[in-house]
Amino acid sequence: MTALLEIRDLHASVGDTPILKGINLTLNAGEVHAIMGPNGSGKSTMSYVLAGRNGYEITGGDVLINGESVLELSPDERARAGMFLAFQYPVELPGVGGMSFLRAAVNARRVEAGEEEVDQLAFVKMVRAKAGELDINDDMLKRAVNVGFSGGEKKRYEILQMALLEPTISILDETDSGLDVDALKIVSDGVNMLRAPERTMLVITHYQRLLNHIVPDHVHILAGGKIRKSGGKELALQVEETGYAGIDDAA
Amino acid sequence: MAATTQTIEQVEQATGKYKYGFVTEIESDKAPKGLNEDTIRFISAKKDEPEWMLEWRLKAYARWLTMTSPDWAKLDIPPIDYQDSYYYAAPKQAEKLASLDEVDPELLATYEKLGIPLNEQKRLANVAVDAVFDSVSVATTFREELSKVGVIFCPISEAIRDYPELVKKYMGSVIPVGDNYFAALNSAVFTDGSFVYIPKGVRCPMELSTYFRINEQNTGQFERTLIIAEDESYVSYLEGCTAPQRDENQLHAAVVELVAMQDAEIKYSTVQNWYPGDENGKGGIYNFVTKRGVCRGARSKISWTQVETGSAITWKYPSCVLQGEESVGEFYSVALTNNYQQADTGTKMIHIGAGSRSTIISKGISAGKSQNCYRGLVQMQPTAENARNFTQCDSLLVGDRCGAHTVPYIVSRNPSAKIEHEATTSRISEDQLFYCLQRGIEEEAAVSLIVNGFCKEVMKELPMEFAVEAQKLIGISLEGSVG
Amino acid sequence: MPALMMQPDLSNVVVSGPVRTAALTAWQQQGWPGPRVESWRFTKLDRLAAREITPASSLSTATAGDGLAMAAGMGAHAIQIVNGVIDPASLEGLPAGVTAGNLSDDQGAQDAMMALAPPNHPVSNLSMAVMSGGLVLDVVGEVARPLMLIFEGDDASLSAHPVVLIRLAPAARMVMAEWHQSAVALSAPLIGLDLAAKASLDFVKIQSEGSTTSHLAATGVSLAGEARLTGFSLSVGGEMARLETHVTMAGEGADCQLSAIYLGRGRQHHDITTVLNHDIGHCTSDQVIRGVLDDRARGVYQGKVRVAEDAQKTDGQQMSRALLLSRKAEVDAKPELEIYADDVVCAHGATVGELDATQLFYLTSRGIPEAKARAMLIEAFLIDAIDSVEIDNLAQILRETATRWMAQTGLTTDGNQHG
Repeated sequence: MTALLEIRDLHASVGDTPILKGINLTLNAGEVHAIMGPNGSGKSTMSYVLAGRNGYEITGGDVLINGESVLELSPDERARAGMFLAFQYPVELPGVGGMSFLRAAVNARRVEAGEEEVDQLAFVKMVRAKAGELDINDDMLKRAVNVGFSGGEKKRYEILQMALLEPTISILDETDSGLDVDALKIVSDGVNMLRAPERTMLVITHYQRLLNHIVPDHVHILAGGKIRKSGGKELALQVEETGYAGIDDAA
Repeated sequence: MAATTQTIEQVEQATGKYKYGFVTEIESDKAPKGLNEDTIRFISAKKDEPEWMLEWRLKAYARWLTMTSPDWAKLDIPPIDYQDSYYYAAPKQAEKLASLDEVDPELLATYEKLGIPLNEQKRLANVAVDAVFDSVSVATTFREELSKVGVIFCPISEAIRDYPELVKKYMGSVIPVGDNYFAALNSAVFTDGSFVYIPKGVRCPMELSTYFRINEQNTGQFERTLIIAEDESYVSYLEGCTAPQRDENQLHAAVVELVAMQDAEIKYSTVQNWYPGDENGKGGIYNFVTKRGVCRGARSKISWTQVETGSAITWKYPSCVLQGEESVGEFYSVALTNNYQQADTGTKMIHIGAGSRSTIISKGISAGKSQNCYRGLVQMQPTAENARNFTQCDSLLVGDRCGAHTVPYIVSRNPSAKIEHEATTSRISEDQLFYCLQRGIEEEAAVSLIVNGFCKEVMKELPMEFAVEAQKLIGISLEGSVG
Repeated sequence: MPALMMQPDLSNVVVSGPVRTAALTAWQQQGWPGPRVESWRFTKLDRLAAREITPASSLSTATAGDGLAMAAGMGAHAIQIVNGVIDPASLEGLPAGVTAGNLSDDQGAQDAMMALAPPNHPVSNLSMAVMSGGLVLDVVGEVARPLMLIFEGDDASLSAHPVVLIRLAPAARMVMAEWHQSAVALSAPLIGLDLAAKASLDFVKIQSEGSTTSHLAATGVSLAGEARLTGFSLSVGGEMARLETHVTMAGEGADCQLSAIYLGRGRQHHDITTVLNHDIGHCTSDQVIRGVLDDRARGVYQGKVRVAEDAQKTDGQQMSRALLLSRKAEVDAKPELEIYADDVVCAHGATVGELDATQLFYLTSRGIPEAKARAMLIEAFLIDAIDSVEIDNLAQILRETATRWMAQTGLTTDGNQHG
């Protein structure tokens, strides 16, 4: 079976500073992987590098979606190939209406897949249905993308986009940051609904508490730009108890 | 809404080139090339004008001869040979049209192609259109319906014949013949344009619209529009313009005068899409336009909204003279330049009346190797007790070979008047672009989305019929600017 | 040039050397700016041009004024320039690290001066040509003692054309002030500030000329890599004053803070004109301008920030605020952005109006008489800007001058009496 996402000995730098120093990870269909690590371990860099953001130099290794290298693909091509990044800090787009933004994203994917574009009425219905489950009201949908949203609203809006775009590979970058208990529950439920045998997820987090809600199949500890340790969900609990300090030596 | 849909379809089918660049093959009646008193007499005679009009024109021409082309704008204007141009070109057709059915089918087809169908069945719903082709108005729709409520909407050449008192009273009252070089030129040689009169207390039941088309080669278009809104009346007026794709530059020097009496409101919207020249800066229209409105009565209001994407060079400052107490002036502008386009555009808000208020929202987008300048004056006269102005000018740079400039002039002679001006210049945020890309939206579409967001405050001021088209125009005009 | 405008009588001026001769030719060709010159649209020189004036050529006795006292107060070494002529005695005992030279016979320095000077500017040309006094100050290391240039003069038929070039060597540091208190017809100083890499200059200028003097100053600044200039001008004196400063960012990491206050009453005309040329990227500039105008005074702020192609990562900010106290006063502002690079953060803001009504109400609701409340708010408006000056000595002379102007204008925060 071909992995949905494979990261092979990935090295990346920002300017002259190496951040990722040989990451290896294989995400198969149906699996949820968690990446945990202390601040500055390279977690956010990894999500940006996978999504193809400018400003990061890949100095070695490869990233493959369905067995094909995506390093030469632009961020939008990777997105249409099925990759979704839920941002740690979702970006505000002043003046850009939420509905037209969401529809542009959904239609870009449909056109790529040779499907019909979804018309406005059908789309509004589709969005309302999913938005309801995430406690996103019409007022939020009418506003410009992320503008005037609270921290929690922004995160829920990320999950709404994920639900609409139905990615095969979802990368959640610190999705729990800035969320209170109730919001965390809504967001996690949203994510869990999207777990499916044909999909995979990479959940990046600093804290274990998110993993109580989104229970991972595998947990990896990232520190100093490398995976220091991998294990099952119990590894996350171990981190919770002993901190990252103990783990670091284990490599 | 048939026309709106049609326009969108056309635009959507577009491949990235100027969509309106075709030429209509039609026989044309022209004045001899060049500008002199005989040309002016020829135009006046063609229009069957009364003697006073001819005299007015000749006076303006004499004035123009003493003037020089303005040089203060941040524009590089090549020398213009005013003798190497035609000042009158009219499609040959029957003298008087009993109905639209008599309009040359070529012309009807042209406007249809432009998304402005003129024939009875396909007309724009609730928009009356005056179609000006080169130097003449070829058709005006919905005239009967409008006349039922007393609204006059007709070509200005007709108004000169049929409503001489109104024309005499108001033409040149807002923009005197010697106001500036291009206004003087227009006053001498203007050929057609629209005339609108809204009687007291009437809310014009539909949008009025003029669609300007330059077709002939080497022809300048000098239209003149005059809108008078009597006490407590309201009108919304739209203006659209296109021209064929040609290698040489063509001059368009229009004059638009608005008069708003007590409690009257005029909303004037423009989507300016004259041919901008090609990607190497060859060809394109010189758009040197004088537009000014005077809020003569108390609580009157004039609102200018413009989306400027076309023309090789734009020199244009739609202004408001806020004479009436508590009168209101607004200027909402999007100016987008790409390739080698140059734009120097903005507004003047002259506050005279006590409690007058003005708002200026300007969004400039520069791409390619273009230069885009906002230039605006806010002036508080000693009488402008408690007057207010707020100005927000934002410039966006797409690429590093273009220029974005902001030149506000602020003059205050009244201590109780308050002026606030803010301006920013920046480029499209990397964060915003990446966010859109990550959602699978292609770069050009993402840039268009973000730029349209940037312009939102202005776009929402456009009437529905134009808003969708304008939005598409922004995207199309940016093509080739990314990557 | 317009025939009506009188030109200074240059018949007795001896112009020598190629730089000054070229400047004279340029002046003779251009003269005072005509009525249609865009950069002079708000400031007309009619009043000045109607006077007969002759450039000064010899030193006269110093005149009364606060300059020396202010210099003493801040422990500064004072260089006196009287009627535009440098007093050689005041060049004795300069602070360690500062050396004086004669600009009038130094072609290289004259060339450097013209490269800095505002281009096509009447004062750049006229004062370089006439050069009633020429001084070069070379600065190395950290100069412990501040320097004050005092410009004075007593003869109302004269024009003064001092030219001073100040060069800071790499990493040099200095605190200096310009104090203008002359009673000549025209005071037209041409000043050059050339800061080498990492040099740092804290600079204050007080324009406190006599009531019939026209003050037309041209200042040119160049900042090399990581050089830093913090400049603050206060224009209160003179009949007509234009303080024009052109700054060129010539090295990455340069930083320029350029602030100004103009305070006008009577029929005074104050003009603050700045041009910030960001020729190279990664530099910052920030301008804060405040103005208060009473009676029939007129205030002008023209500020241009120009960002050249490829000058990426430029941060250029301008903020101008003006208060009108009288129905006959006028303020004109023209903040301008001219930008040819895309990765920049540039912004300007400008406001004109009265005092904030809510603030005024708040103060009066606490029992403070309205006149005093007004004075308090005006003082706060000015002090707020002056507070950005980090060097206490410099902030002090700014504060004293501003406070004195307020008292003279009848704006008093002391008593509870109506001022």
